[in-house]
Amino acid sequence: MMNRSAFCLILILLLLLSGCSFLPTNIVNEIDMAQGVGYDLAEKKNIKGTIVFPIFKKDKTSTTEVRTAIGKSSKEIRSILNNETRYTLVSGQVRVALYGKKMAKKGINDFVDTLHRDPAIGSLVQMAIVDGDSNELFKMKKYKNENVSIHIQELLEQNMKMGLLPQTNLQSFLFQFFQIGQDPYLPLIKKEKDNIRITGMAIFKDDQYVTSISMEDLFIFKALVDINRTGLRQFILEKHDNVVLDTLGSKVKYKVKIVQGRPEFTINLKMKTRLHEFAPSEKQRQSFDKKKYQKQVEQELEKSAINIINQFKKHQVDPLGLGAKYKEHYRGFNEKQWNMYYPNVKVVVNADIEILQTGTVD
Amino acid sequence: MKLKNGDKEYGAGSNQNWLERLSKSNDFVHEHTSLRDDEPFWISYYRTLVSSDILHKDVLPYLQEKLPLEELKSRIPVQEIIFTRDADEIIQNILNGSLAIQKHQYDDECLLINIANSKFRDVGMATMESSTLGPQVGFIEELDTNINLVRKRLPVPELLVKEMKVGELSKTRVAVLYMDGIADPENVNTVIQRIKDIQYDHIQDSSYIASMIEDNSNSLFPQSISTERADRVAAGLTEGKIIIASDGSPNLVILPVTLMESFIAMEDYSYSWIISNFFRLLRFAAMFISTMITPMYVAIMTYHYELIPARLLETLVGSRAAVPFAPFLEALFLELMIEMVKEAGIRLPLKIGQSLGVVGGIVIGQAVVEAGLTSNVLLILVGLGSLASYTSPVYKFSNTIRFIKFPVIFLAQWFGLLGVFLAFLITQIHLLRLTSLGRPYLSQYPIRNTSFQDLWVRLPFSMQKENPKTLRPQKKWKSTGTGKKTGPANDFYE
Repeated sequence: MMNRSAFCLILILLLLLSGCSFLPTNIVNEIDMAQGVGYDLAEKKNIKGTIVFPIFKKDKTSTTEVRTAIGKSSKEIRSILNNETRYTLVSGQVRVALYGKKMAKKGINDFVDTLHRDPAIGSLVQMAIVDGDSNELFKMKKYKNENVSIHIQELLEQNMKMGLLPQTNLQSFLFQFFQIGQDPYLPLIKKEKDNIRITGMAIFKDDQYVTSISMEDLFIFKALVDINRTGLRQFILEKHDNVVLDTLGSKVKYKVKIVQGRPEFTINLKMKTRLHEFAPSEKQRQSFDKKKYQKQVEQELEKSAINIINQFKKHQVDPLGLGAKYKEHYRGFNEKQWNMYYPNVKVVVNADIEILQTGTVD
Repeated sequence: MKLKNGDKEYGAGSNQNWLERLSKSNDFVHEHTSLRDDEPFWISYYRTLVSSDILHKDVLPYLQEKLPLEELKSRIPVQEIIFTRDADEIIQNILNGSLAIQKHQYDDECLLINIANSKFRDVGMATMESSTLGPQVGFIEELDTNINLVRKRLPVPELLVKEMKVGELSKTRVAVLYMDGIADPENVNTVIQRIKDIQYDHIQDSSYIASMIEDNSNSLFPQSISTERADRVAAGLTEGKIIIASDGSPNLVILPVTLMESFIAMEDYSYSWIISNFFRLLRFAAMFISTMITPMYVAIMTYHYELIPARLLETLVGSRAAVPFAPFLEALFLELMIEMVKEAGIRLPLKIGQSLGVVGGIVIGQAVVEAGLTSNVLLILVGLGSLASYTSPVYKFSNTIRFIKFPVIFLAQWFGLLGVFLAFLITQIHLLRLTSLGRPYLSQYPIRNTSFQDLWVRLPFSMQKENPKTLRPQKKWKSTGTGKKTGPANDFYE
């Protein structure tokens, strides 16, 4: 039998404590949840921060609020913005972080740091570089009711899943950033007239934007950095034969060979594809010559792979992580020495394209 | 009410004046069958207990002749006739509906003829544990009929019945049923010992006994299964379980049980094993849904907004936008309301109850949402949770599930998801310590071969070979044949 006074005490505590909570609460309708953040360069070494948060109403479509403030750090911007929001601004629902190109050229690390230091923010936050101003992108009138941050997030995610973009997010950015011998890359988006579109891939040197890859080269870039992802590309081959291929699956293997103390790379790319469209220049009745076109596509791909690798070498950036692969392979790895070798390192690409499906007609 | 030493014991007469004691009641009849006072016979009985039909047709005609009592005993065509001098026995029998015949008014010798008029409802459908397939018969309030129903299913001499009288005032007949040679004798002795030790003045239902002999009466979890299904009882007996039946109760108590058995319905054995496993695991999942879904809502809406998927955000937050209460109060309010509707539905007279169940639930729920007092998402979750709590085939267990969500809601309010996990942990620790008749309640751990034959899942009959080990049955294999191989007859089934 429980002591009567102890029982009463527990009962009173139960009644009293039910109203309060031991931890600070974040009741969902009493917070303003930032879903998108954007950072642009402002005058005098300041940063213009933009925060997008939705306002939900019962039985009505939600609207998005876009607020901008100028400050020195991400949290300073947030506390300035907090002075003008109805509820506390919280960061746990951040889905997308955008960085203006000008700011990215100076380095974005200070503003990525805040994302991964905050335990409320997940590692699947999408990041992108805006060719222009991220503030303008968020403020587009068209997306006032459509929730612009979710729009951008889903735009990027669907392109990573089915399109030409290689998989990136906060987690991959941080991994590439902290990995010795690799540089990060992020999607590049742009406001074009009334639309937001992906224009390519921003390539970083450490945390600074250096160069970009165009959409045409993204097919081979994705094949080199991502495994088993789909993508579509049109090849215009000799005699203007037009072949459109769709990746069913791809596998890439990097081989490192040390020749006279210097690394040499062989990239073996195996790709299974499906023929989507075929428009031969000579209009004649003949079935699709698989072997011939496979060969031609292989050559085309090898050429474009070498092309982008040469571009990377020129800018001293290494998004493929060749340095990291070299480091895995070679105990005497020295970063300075590798940086010296890199512009002249020998890279051979062997593409092996297999067209598995040619459609129902052949 | 407990009797203290020195108190007069109720019901037992100490001397010849049993007649005097019984005559105080107005429905007691003490008559003379002949005209002259010194001639036989004197009969005494309770008018309200005996069947006047039997009395007038089968007994009174024989009392016209002046025969000695022994002669009378062999003549009267009634089965239960006792010849005794013991006053206690006479009182007891008269109180159970016997007719006492004496030669002279103050004779010690007495002939007791059982002409009790027992009025019980007929054996009918099992109402609490109904099933679509399988036997429909349910127990009734009479002990002998209930035992009859069980014996019909197990016509073997190994089925033993031990009867006792419990309750100082109610003198309830309590029977312990078990299979000799299968049930662990230690378990049987424990049950009989515990029932004998009961000191309580009245036993109205077998649940009284069940909760009195429980290992831990402070637990929320029922450590026995009360059933009104004869097939469940018979199946339990064959596995070495012990059954307690009490007169006046349509529920029989099965002991010892494990937690998982609360998810087993007898209907499971009527379907294909794959389908019945689906339903069994569904019931198991429903328990988690029922106990966790509202607390999860409270925890996530109060603390962990980060966990809400972006696509759900609008639905969840939008539905809560105009609600003036914290999620905790909102949830508590709605849960209590649903429980109230349920409780009222049970208590209300049958005809009103039916309309209230539907109307009350939907109308009040809809009105509450429209008034903006709760979010409609929560209404769905609470509805789902309360629906899920009724999937357990054991009614007592579904009450446990109904109750247990309230402390979890409190913990969710105090500590968020940590609190929900804490509740899970505390329950798990409690269950691990709990025993039913000294056997572990959570005996699905460690996972044994037998747990997969018929506990977590039900395998086809040909693969259910062993009796559950936790009961320590004396008979290891289900079939008496050669042991491991079930006899050829079984190949016929599955």
